[in-house]
Amino acid sequence: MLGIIQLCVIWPVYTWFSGIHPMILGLPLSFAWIIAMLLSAFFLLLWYYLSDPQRRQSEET
Amino acid sequence: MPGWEIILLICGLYLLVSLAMGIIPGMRISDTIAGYVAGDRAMNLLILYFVMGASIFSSFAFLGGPGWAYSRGAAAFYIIAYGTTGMIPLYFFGPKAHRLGEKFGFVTQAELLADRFDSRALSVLLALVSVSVFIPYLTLQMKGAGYILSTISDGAVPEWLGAGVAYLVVLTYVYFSGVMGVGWTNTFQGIFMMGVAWFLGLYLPYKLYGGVGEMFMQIAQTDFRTMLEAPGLQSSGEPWNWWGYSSAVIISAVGFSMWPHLFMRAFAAKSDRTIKLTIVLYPTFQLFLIPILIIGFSGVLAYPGVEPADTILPFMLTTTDLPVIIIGLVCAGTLAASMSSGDAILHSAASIGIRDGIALFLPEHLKTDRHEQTMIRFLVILISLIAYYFAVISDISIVALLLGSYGGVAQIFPLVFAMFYWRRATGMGALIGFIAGIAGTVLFLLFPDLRPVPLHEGVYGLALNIFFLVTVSLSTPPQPRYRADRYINA
Repeated sequence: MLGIIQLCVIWPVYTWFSGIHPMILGLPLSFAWIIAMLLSAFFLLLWYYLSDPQRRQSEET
Repeated sequence: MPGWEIILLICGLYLLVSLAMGIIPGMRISDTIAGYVAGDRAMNLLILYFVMGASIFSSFAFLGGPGWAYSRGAAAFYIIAYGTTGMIPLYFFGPKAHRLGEKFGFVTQAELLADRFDSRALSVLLALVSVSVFIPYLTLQMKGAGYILSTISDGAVPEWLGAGVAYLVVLTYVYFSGVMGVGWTNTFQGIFMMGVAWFLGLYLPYKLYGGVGEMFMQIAQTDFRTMLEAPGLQSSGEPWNWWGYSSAVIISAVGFSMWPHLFMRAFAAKSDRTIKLTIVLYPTFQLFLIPILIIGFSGVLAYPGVEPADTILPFMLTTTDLPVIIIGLVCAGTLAASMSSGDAILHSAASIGIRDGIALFLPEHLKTDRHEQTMIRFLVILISLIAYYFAVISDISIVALLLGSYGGVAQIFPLVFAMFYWRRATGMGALIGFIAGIAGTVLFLLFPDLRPVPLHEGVYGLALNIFFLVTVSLSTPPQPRYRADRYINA
């Protein structure tokens, strides 16, 4: 999953989102896309952290 | 510019607060190597978060970052792109390093590697590479600090004096408090510079164009349109190609978590949980780059043709009609950005230089905790002086050195990965792989025309590195099982 996000910020996936339009929240698409990827990496890792089996163990002990 | 005395006063106040925040926590840590280098392994989430975050946003953030966006447009998104995933490997390596550190008393990255691969040469080599990339890095921070103070004061404070005063403060708190001084000041500096960046990033477009969206609309309607299309422009102004952009992102992402001053913080954390949460929360710090880049974009139409591009922010500050107090806060923010990286680098460079380099050659009776701590403090002063010399006296181009440094730092990644996950990796394999990686990177950095395809030089280094690590490891006798197991199962 994280590998996919990494691919999303470089060639080839990023080429599809490299234009200016449509503008999102006042930002060009290329900029907004990178920020969206940053946020999705954050939520993905957060989810991973919350469901980490090791973490559950250490909390129980 | 008028009113610069007030600006300097604000900067002075900021420096005083930094100094106080840096020295006070040092009184609470124990007088040992673990205390000085790893903060008694007791950093909480708040401090660790800001240390990791603020160490990265150097004077590059307020000078180079806007400069990139201003001159190269979308190419600057690269900075956000590699940060998206770059820190994640530490989520897995960090807790392992932390546990081993607690068990065997390690405080640096090279100590781990040297022990796992049973190789003193590797430790010395890593120390050499680290210190040689840290010195130019520190020099750039000093230049940034000196530059902003002299621009704002119309030269009344010369660069040497500005850099000198700011770094005397850094030197003082690093000398006394070690990593805890770095921690507390970075927390203060981090909050401060985030506030300044968001304010400016929203205020400048509003003042110049009537809003962020409006600004980008206007840029999109002019010939500067190509700047907004990824992957942006090269420094020459030609469009950047996807090869160059993508490989630069990958190498930086790989190298990111391997920076010794970041990796070392795993030893300073209070627990596994602290490390993991810091990494999870790290992207929230990255959001701070958004206003930074917007600041750069806001100069594109309003002030075309500013040279060099890195001076765009000071240029806008002095030409746009802004209240003096705000300019003062921005200057202090720039200083904060410069110092929060400078202190971490200075501290790590000295710790690594002694622990991983010099201490290995000392006679036994000098290897005590107390002696090493004294030597680290001595090296803190020495490294400051060397960097200061380069910053104000010497004219050598250090930017090129720093550009190559990510390629070099990325070469540590295969070693760290193999240390934790590949039982069969041997000391000889690690050593030769690392040397080949560094050699490949340096070769293609110096002679970029030799590259078969225009990829980042670090990619070639990495390929050589992995090839030799694997082949040499497989053709040398394996390490004793207990040694490798300690790391695999950590």
